Amino acid sequence: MPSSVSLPAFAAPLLTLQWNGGAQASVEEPILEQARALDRFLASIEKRAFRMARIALRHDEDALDSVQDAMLQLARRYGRRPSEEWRPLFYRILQNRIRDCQRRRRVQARIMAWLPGFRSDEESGADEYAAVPDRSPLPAEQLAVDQAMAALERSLAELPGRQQEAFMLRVFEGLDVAQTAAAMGCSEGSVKTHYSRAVHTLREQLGVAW
Amino acid sequence: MNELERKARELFEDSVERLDAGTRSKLTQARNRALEEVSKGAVRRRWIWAPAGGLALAAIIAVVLTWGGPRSGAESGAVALEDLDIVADSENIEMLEDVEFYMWLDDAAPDEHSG
Repeated sequence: MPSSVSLPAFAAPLLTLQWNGGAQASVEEPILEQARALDRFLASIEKRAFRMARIALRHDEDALDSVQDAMLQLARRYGRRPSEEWRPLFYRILQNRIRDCQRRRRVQARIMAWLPGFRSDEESGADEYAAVPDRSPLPAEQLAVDQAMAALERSLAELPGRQQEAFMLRVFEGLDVAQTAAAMGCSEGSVKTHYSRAVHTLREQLGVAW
Repeated sequence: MNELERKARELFEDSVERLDAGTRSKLTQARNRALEEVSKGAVRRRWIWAPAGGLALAAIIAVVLTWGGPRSGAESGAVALEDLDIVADSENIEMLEDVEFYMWLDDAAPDEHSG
């Protein structure tokens, strides 16, 4: 019985429907199962998706907004699609959101540059606390890891957008070439080219530091 | 996977594991909002089909009322049209689920119109 099963909060409206009759329970069960599957999927990728968006956008709130939009779009438009399709679809939506955000920032920067006394985020430092040394006591090993990650993030941020996408989807998310092509909306050949160039540039930039 | 890729992946996974509690909480909230869309979508889909189901039931009841009762001639035609008008009225669509009520209406109608 529904009342004896522990379900997430989002299932409440479906439970309400089920009280209308036993026959409806069987009708709603696939929807509940779909919601549970989507919950598991999103929980499995949300943190990595956020970190990738954060690296691309270098802004916590923008990264969170992008991930949330991607989750909503996936649930609204593709929730009923087979779960095997969710990952490339989710990352395709997320990459589009990231690009939209970057485009919006460029337009805002161009407009604001006309205003007297305005300093763009980059000039004023979008992440003004990034340069502030962290006074919390960190073990030397963790500090080295943090510095290496910071160097990687800086190098990734300087890559052209498509190279950055290809590298993050292949290395961080572990998508294969075909899945990356689906997520990026381009051919597999383009993925290989973008990825190869990204690795080449990163090796040049990080070679000494790493 | 070469050394650079392996190291990049390790660093990335480490940074994911050490995400702060505030960000994790916001991500969970975002996920729950997205999942609410699934349930809302299910409710919307259900109500999209409700009028169609109601009309189908109305058609069945209309057939029963027209040919099911012991009526004759023009009188039964007028009663049937009247019944059809009642069941087709969208304001009474919830009443369509009460089949017993319409069975009673079907039985009662000839008496009312014979007087």
